[in-house]
Amino acid sequence: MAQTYTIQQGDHLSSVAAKLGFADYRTIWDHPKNAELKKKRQNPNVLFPGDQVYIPDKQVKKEQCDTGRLHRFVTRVEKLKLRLTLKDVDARPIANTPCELTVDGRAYKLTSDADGHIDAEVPRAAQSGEITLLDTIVPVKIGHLDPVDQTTGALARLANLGYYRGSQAPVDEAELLSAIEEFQCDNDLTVNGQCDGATLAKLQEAHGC
Amino acid sequence: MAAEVLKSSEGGVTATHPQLGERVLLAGPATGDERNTFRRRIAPIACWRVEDMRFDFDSSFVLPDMKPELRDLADLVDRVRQSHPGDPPASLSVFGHADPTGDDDYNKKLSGRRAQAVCAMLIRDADLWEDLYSHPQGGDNWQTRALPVMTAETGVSAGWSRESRKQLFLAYMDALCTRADGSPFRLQRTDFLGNGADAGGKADYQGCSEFNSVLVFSADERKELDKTANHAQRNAENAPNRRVVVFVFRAGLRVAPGRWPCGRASDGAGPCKKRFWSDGELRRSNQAERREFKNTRDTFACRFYHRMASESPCEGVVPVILPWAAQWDRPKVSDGETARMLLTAPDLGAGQPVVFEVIQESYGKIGEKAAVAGAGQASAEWNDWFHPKRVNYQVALKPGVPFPPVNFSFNAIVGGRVTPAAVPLVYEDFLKLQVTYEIDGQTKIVADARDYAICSPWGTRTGKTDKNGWISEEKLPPGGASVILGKKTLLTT
Repeated sequence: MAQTYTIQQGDHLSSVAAKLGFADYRTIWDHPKNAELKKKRQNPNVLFPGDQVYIPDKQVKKEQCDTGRLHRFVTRVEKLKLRLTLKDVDARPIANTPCELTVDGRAYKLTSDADGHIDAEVPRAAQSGEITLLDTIVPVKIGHLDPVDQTTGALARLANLGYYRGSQAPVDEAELLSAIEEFQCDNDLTVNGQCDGATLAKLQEAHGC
Repeated sequence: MAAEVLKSSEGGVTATHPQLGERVLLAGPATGDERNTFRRRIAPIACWRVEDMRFDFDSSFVLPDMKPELRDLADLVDRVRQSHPGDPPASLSVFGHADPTGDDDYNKKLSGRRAQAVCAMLIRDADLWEDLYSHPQGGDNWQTRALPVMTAETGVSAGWSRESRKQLFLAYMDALCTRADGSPFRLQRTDFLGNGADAGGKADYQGCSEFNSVLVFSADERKELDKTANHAQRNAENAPNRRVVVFVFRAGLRVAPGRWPCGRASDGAGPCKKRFWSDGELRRSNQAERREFKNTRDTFACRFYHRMASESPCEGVVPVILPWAAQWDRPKVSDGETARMLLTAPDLGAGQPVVFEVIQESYGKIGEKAAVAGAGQASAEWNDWFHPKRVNYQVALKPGVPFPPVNFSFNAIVGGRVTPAAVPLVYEDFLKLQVTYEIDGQTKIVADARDYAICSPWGTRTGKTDKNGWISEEKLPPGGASVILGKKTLLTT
């Protein structure tokens, strides 16, 4: 039966789809009843706690098959990736550098490319992992990134980009102001310490999602 | 490392910075092209600050008095490097600061010249000093006094040629930069944040002009101090602002000079002003009240410097706590002996009450003594060496196993500050007795090994008498003992 699912912190649409038995998140995302959410959030994997997602009925597929013969049924399951861009303190890509990503207990030995990119296919329900890069180990919380227009989402992106160095909660207001202004300064935006539209758009672009 | 002032003197401060908080990458996974950027954060892990008094007046010339602070810097750099595996090069960046007298561009150059002088000295670059020598800048003129001071320090005479000056500069740098053990303290260009890659020292050393004052006068004070008659006082009160700070980063950390926000030491104030807070001019202006960075955290105009320095003990945000030490006046004590507990505390005022809390290490606190401090020190005596009330027959030590050491420690407590004794005091009594028998009025030695037991409150130790009938115990714990031979108690102390 069709239902409405309320997004919790840590959910992303792929994990929701996997949990509810959908092979492809698009069955949910592309449903007309989710059009408004889709327009608002744009990225199915960056949702906000409280978001309401319409979960349609699962389609039952019926096939007539002869007995006495072999039939092959293939279900196409969408793939989920964790894609990161690694940058050094001065924003140069950390290129051609080995690093290790562990997601839900599985280890991926990776080497960044010339642009500092690493990509790993991860389980659809993936929630947590960690990345070991040079001398540091950093926990990764998958699906915990909030939309950029939420305070928490802007803060997380400023932190990922190395600008905000305080704690997520409680927020260090002085450090946040410094982070916003420093980001604005580096990106030739008006330096005003405000998370205005131009700043948020640039923040999403610079972060990559 | 935690924020800790390692050294502090009239000439400067050496300290470690608090660590940045735990980092967690919050990521959105991707079914399309989305990515998440993870950029490493930059923050100094330690700092060194040297005061204006270590430079010649209004000059970038380093005075011989900077030697102790340079030894502290050597300690700090060694300490940070040793904390990293693989012995990577150090990562330093030097920031000079001027006071708010004079214009921004002049102060930018002056502060840059001090930073340049310090960096050059550490890497023994005589050409950088020649540059300062041969290009005086306003009051910063090395030609008036620097050479005789260097000659007095080194015994090397200054000739007229550039080459002879170079030899003098190098000898003077060597004389100033040494470790505590006397070995030379010398860094390489590649021990700096910009890796020495930029000829103008970008990212290696820079001047912050007057933009990052630790003390900003109130508007009224400023008005008063700006009067010609008060310039000497203004100069004196501004001294804390005229400092050079070296930030030490994680060893091996490098930035590309072109990506470093600060301009070169020789540049004007443009790159600095680009990095100002949106209210940077307000922050550095004279307001209704006098402001100090350590209290208000709003006096630095440069946001980037503020990011480096906001948690730096070298900018005063951690009160300087001079180390205190507590120790016993002797390593060992025995029955009836009195030992003295000493507290050495340079900034402890005379007349302050001090409590010495005596601790037996396996039993806990056993008593306390109150004392009154003299200037910088306090002490109290103790001779009540604690022991359990009863002789302990239950704990039988194996043959040959000595008594456990019985250690006494103490805490010197002043207000809420507790200073534990660095090394415990060991209680060790000795017992030596000879077992003989008397036959026909003659004393004979018991030559065969006899079993004996020494029963003390700390346990019972067994052994055999030696060939001359001796029972020796060199580490008898407090509380006395009964010595039993066969079934006979020979002695109870």
